[in-house]
Amino acid sequence: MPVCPISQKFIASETIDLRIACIAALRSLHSYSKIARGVPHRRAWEENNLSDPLLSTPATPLLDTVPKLLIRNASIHADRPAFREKAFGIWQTWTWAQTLDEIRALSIGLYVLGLKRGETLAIIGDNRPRLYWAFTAAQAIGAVPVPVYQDSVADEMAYVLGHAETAFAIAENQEQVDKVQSITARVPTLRYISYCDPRGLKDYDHKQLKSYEDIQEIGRQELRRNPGLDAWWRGEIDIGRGSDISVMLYTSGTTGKPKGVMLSHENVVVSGVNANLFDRYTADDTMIAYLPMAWVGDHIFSYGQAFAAGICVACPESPDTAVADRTEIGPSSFFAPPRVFENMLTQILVRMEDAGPTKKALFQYFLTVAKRAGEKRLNGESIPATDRLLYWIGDKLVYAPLRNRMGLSKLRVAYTAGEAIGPELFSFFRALGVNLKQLYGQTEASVFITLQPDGEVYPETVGKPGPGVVIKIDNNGEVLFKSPGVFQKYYKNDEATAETKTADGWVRTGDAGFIDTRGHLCIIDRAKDVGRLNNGAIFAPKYLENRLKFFPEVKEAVAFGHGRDHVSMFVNIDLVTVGNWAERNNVIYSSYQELAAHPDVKKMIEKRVDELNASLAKEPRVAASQIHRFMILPKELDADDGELTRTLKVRRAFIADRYQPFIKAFYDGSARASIRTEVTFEDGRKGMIEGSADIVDMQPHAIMPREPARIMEAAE
Amino acid sequence: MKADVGQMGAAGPAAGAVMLEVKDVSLSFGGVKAIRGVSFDIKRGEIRAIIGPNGAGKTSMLNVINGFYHPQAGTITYKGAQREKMRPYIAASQGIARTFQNVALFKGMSTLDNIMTGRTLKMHKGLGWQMLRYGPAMAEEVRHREVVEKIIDFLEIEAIRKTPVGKLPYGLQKRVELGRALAMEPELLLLDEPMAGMNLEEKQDMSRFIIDINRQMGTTMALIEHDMGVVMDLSDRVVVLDYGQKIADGTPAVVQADQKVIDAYLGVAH
Repeated sequence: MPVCPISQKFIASETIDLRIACIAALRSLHSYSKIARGVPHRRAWEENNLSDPLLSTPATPLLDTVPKLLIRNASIHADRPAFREKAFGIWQTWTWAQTLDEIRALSIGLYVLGLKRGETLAIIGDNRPRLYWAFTAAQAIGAVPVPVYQDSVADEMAYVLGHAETAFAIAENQEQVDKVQSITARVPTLRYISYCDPRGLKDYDHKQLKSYEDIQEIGRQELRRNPGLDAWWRGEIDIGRGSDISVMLYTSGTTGKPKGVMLSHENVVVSGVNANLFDRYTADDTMIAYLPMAWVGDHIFSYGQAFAAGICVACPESPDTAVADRTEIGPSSFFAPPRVFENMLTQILVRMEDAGPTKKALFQYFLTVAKRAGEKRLNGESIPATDRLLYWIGDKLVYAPLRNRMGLSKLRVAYTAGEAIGPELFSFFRALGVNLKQLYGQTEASVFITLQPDGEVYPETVGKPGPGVVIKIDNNGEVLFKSPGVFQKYYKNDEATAETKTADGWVRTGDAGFIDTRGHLCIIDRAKDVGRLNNGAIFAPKYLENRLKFFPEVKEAVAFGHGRDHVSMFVNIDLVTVGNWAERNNVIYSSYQELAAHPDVKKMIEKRVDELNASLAKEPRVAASQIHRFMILPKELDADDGELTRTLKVRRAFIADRYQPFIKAFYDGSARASIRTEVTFEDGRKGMIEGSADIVDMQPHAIMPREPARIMEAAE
Repeated sequence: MKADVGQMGAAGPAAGAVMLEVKDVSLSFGGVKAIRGVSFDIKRGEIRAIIGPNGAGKTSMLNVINGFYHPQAGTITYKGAQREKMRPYIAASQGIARTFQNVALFKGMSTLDNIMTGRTLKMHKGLGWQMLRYGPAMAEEVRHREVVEKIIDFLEIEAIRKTPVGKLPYGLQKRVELGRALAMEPELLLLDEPMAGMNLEEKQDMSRFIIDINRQMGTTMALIEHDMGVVMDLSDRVVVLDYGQKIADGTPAVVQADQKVIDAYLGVAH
């Protein structure tokens, strides 16, 4: 079996000079509304690349920083809504002109209080227009905003503020002020703390403390006293360059101390412009900002993209009301991690359980129609006329009301990322007419590495490289990229920068993946978890496990193969799904162990594993990882026994050790194996259970790649 | 009513003028003597705690202040005027609001509507206008809604604005009840065990609200509470009742060290 070497030549379009791509994107801002309507996005991008004489002098100055975009928006979108926030039960709106006014007052106020070019300003709180303005206010005078996760404890905050040598902090409320005040001793550079909500802060010592409005008032007074100040302030903005650091975003630091990722204005603006081009966002769009401001996604979506296209950003009343507020606002784009979509689906299903018989029947019937026709419709494929009619009726009766309920009525595109999303879940939303897509990105890339283009949405991939992005896979299977969003460096951590950024400008993602025959990127695992089979083929356990776990009958799976001849797998059946099946088929069982050993269950799982093998066979990169042998474990993996972590992740090494006899049997050809192992009962007592299980041999599929695609396209 | 809040020190807003004075009050139900000759005062701007073991007469005392019970003996002076026979609605119109030991909300109504009922006494437009819900009545409702929305914001209950209160967990119901009392914009707020049945986090939240109401709105408060930690942290002065009699009165520190109080709570070996 030939195994493709992973070192790919996907670098085809290295000819794209990223710098030129940046400038082109920035240029396009001027003719933005023309591009955004009508012209298909990909062509719009190319047109910009090609038709814009890059070296000629532009008629207007480059809009290469966010404050410059603010000035532009305040003139061309002056009376259009820029920010909305629900306060006292009513949506309050600020136009771009008002936003400019607010930001200018704050910016000058901060300057008067002594915030200098190059200093950092921490921003801590939930998504609030005032906090978004603080970004621009600081950037206008050359200071660098550092958003901090609002739920971080004082210790974490002390690290970030100390590391960033923060001079100012703007906090949302008393809770955050308390945290900052408790760590001032560890942040000697901190001079002022500002707060938006004065509640509970009245009796605090105001020597270092200033209310947001007081700072703005200082700015307004100065402006009244000195009419030339506005021109000076605009001049300060003009001094700013695209290559200046615009923001520092600290990674969440799940491994080791958080790192301060420094992004330039160009990173943020170009990423925003590109994303807007990709999904055709204009000033007519509305977004809801509800994800942490310290997270790069929110910074690019609700700040970079919003300023680049003049999109209106709506901030919910409180984190708890985000869902209700979304229904009221009806955003045109929506980003959420998979579990949010999972919750939405569960809620729909639970509510439908309680619905009357007519509604239930309607829902069931039209759901089958949607599953048949919905996704094809969204992908622009042809569907029979009857289905088209039925879908139209279904849309009126079921899909549209459901979308409205979820606040997705006006939605054009929804994105999910972060973890694997089940194909069923994914297809459910797409069938209902929600254009749900996946993207892949990270802080170091200013979010976007790959996105799924409309009409090319496959649940198992994360899409194609975004505009201006080039990706390649190195010999170890790790994904590397170059893009206009590539971060400048980690703040005060050259060692980590050198580890992540190669000398020739590639960035290591730390994720292992491959590019499939359609030119789509598949992420399979963290690079450090990826192993190799004896024949040298790549072995990514989590990828295989996730793929198998997408089948409802499989609750947990553990794959083995590193340093072995072939892949074998432990499977835990899902007691709810399989138990349900048993009930319907009069299969009587008294325990998990008994049900797991039932021959029909074994056949059921065998069928699923075979399906997985068949689909793996179509991907040359993972075809060698087809499962040769599997076994349904006679015991459920349990966190109490140390087999799973408390967050229910498989502890591979521990399981390999405990079930040693089974693994031995996998590779010595035995057809059955038994084991004696200790279990912890729910009341904490320990006992021994004995178990044995059959090993099922699978017939691997012949490797059948999809028709050879034009691979080079992948890297356009 | 907010005028005297400014001079409060960090230690709390104690030491205003006497707002309410209870003098030699006795109350009995048939042969049961619930309160026996109790005297104490509540000063403007303070948080006054009333504590005591079960059956000490704490809730009866609140009911007397509230005008629900009429003491057989003794006088009550509120804002300088000695009170005649009293009805709860008169007390309410004079600026005394309260919450109850057992939540007493309208279960089928939303949080918003429940708090809105706290504004009833301040609505003046006639039934006809109200039924039309137009013109002056609408303007009035909008005005009151604004006050209610500020309270909702203050108590951080935006997410349950439209939820029927019957569906809410107990801790939140308590908060809604507090909201309804606040909607009256009271000068004196009587809280009957605001933290009963709450977990630690809910207690912390409620304590913060009580302090914020006191500091920010300048509302004077009398509260009954069993959680000693809460009482000692929140209150400026404490009066201790036992078997209907006052056994101690003073700052938390003084009361805590009082032998009679310790005996009342822990029992005395005879």
